[in-house]
Amino acid sequence: MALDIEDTTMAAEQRTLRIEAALGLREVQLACAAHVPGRLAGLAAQRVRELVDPDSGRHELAGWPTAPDFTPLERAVLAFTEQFVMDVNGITDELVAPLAAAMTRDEVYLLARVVQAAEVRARAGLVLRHEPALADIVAELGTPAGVR
Amino acid sequence: MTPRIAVDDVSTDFHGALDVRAMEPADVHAATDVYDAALRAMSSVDVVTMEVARLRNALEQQCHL
Repeated sequence: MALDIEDTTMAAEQRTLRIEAALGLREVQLACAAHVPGRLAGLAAQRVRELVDPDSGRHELAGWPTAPDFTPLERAVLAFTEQFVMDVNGITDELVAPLAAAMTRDEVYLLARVVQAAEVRARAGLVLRHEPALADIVAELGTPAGVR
Repeated sequence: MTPRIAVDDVSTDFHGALDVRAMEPADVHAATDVYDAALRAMSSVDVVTMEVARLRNALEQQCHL
């Protein structure tokens, strides 16, 4: 569904501004993700997409609690991400502790920024429908396994 | 609210909010500045856009560790 905006100069300028904001948030997410170790940022962004926009693709990470493919830190990141999306006020000390133990203070903060940006982008994409598919962004963020 | 990450070296403003830029590398600074400028530019655009901006601000406020 696209926004029904008259094709006027003002509407075109508005659309440009929205796209600039969307691209700006994309750049924020990518910049933060570049400072998060391994594939943690990519996993978090993908799980956000699966939760916020469940019709947009496969749910490859939904079975993480029982799947053998994830390190303890990746599991901690996925648990943190799910709670962040469902109810950020429900984030507990127990969810943050394994992240803080395995990463630096700044890396934990930047991971939270990745999750936040991915969630806003996914929700905005549902409303405005002018964002590129988040799957493309996940591919951009993807890094080889071997997370510490 | 007790911070869950070490913020002893991070300054706070009058309201006690952390200056989180101290935890951001320069490239994240730059990207955030571009994004913030884009948000300010579209502050009078339309209801839907403002709703997205409101959602973004609300999430940032709740993005506490």
